[in-house]
Amino acid sequence: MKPFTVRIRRFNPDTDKESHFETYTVNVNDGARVLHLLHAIHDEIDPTLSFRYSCASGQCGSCAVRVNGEPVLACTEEAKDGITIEPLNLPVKKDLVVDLLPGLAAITPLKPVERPVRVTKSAIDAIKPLKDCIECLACVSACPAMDVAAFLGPTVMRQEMRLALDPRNIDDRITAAVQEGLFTCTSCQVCWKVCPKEIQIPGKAIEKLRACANKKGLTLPRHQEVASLIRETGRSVTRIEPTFMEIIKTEVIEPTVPVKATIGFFIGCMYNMRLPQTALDAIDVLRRNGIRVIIPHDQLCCGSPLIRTGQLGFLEDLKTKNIEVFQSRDIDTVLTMCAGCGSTLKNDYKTPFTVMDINEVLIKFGIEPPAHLPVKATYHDPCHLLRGQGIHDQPRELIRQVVDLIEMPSICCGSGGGVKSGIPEEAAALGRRRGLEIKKTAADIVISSCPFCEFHIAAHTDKPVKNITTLLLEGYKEKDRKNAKLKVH
Amino acid sequence: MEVAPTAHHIMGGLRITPECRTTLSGLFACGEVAGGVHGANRLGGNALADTQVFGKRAGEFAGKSEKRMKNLNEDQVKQKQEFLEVFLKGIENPAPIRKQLQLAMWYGAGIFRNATDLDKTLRTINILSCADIRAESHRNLAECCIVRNMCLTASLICRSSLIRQESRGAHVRTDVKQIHDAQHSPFGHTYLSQSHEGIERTRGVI
Repeated sequence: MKPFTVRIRRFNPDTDKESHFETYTVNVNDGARVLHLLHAIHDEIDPTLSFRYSCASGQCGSCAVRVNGEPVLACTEEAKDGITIEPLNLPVKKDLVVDLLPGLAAITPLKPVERPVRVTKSAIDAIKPLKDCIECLACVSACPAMDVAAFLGPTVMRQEMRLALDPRNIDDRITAAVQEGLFTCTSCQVCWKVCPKEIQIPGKAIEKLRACANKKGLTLPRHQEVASLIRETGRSVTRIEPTFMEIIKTEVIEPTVPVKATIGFFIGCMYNMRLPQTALDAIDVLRRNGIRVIIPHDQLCCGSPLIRTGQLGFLEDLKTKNIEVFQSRDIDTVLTMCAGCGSTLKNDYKTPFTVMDINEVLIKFGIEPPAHLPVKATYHDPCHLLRGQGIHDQPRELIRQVVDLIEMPSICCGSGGGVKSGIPEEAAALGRRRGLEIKKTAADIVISSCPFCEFHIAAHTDKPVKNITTLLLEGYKEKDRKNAKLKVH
Repeated sequence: MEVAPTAHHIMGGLRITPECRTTLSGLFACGEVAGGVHGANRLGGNALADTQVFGKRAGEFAGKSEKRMKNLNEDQVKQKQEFLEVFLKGIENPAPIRKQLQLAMWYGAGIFRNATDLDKTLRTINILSCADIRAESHRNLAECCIVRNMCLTASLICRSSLIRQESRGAHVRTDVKQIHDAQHSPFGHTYLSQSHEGIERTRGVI
């Protein structure tokens, strides 16, 4: 037994106007779960503490709460000293007990066909990844789109796809899913990262439903325009100024110090055509740190805008071409600096080469220390970097070498999943929420590592938004300036 | 990984007919409250028979049964209300009572059982059943009822374990020398009601 001190958000509708935190210290066994903590507090300190549970073994889904902001099952999450326990982000009935009924009622039941049908093995296999939901509503609690748009939520979409795949179900679930907000999902991936059953809702349900919707002609007009643009130009945005590749001209860029590694560069549409200066900054940082960069000029859009919106018609052609351009140059490692491209190449491609995000590359090969700038910065985790590629520590390690870092919660900015083009008002609402979080940190600048996030957040904050490599370059410039000054004196 | 035995199912329960009728007219039962469906041992993950067979039957036969007139006995309602209100004036925290009960059952009525320990456990249960437990608020009434129901269930388990003087399925009596196997057991179902209790004999007395 050892003592644990935890904070719990309490609310009694009979006496309280607003919720408040209470701190408790109880003794529980080492390795105890959060549920054991709650039992101990209820049994030994305050019998009025309300929380819901049933099986206590991760099977029934009734004990989901938020621990340090993240939805978890209280019965499987290990108790840690100093944690904060709150109810799910749903209407609170009392303390940690929330109203699950609207969320559960939204999950469509199967409408059986009149005559029994034989369910084939392949149909069962297709349904399998979608049927393990225990209806804990952790995904509903975490989904940012549900807060700002008419969206019934991740597990409702999961169920719609599950029914759409089931030959025993009679009605059209695709049209229903579109009406329930299928296109409001920003592909932020948080739903399946918090899912205790790890159901890949964005990839296995939402993108699949969107592909089915595409076959029914239900793709949003703006998404169709993007697909046409990619089909015609190989790029997802139009050319409005000289592109990164037009500026650099050459295919091989030699470093200014001895070569540590030779890496292919997958530039991505946004950095190539909308933020070329950021890509040029990245090249300067890579050169200074011994990375020889090879940039095949015949590379195309990665296809992410097509996959996220369910328009798969010519996706395979893009994939084949992109793999071929790097393979033909004998490149064994390809670098991405766009979080979306990186996540797509890593998760939606089968590449014969290794794909690494620029943050991974810089940490792996090590960087020359930049000067420390007297600036406070906050960092926005791009969804496709944090959840899509599992990259959390590397950007922070790089940022801390240049400036002081103030953390903020990792929430989607609203720019992904085709929402910015398809439902701009939802993207703007999420952007404004991001702006508020940024304001709370009182940071001077915002750092990110994704062109979509950087572009979108810049419209919703008065703070400068910079890419990590731009920040590193500023650190190097300051270092060079100081060194030059020393030489003069 | 921690591996430990746990009571995940109670094999015993209400006696039901194949139509899921109980001895109380108009009350149908299925699932874990009903006994006998799984015999002497229910394997993990095997509630399918409960839900898919008896769940369907209970619903169907309840739906088909003749309509009954609502007959609310005011005295019974009052009795129940008084029963609950006692908890609001109680003294003892129900949590330690529940824990003592669980410990007593863990040591005395677990996987391996014998008459001495079962008797001792039953005495503990009888004492705990009489504890003057307190409901901190109306919201805590259910908790008090649960503790009382746990005491009743525990008592039923101990009493039937004492009655069944053989090892069968998940019930192992270390103090009974047994020569028969399950197929040749002289015993049938254990039964407990408010008026009588015992065990059915299927093959005469040994």
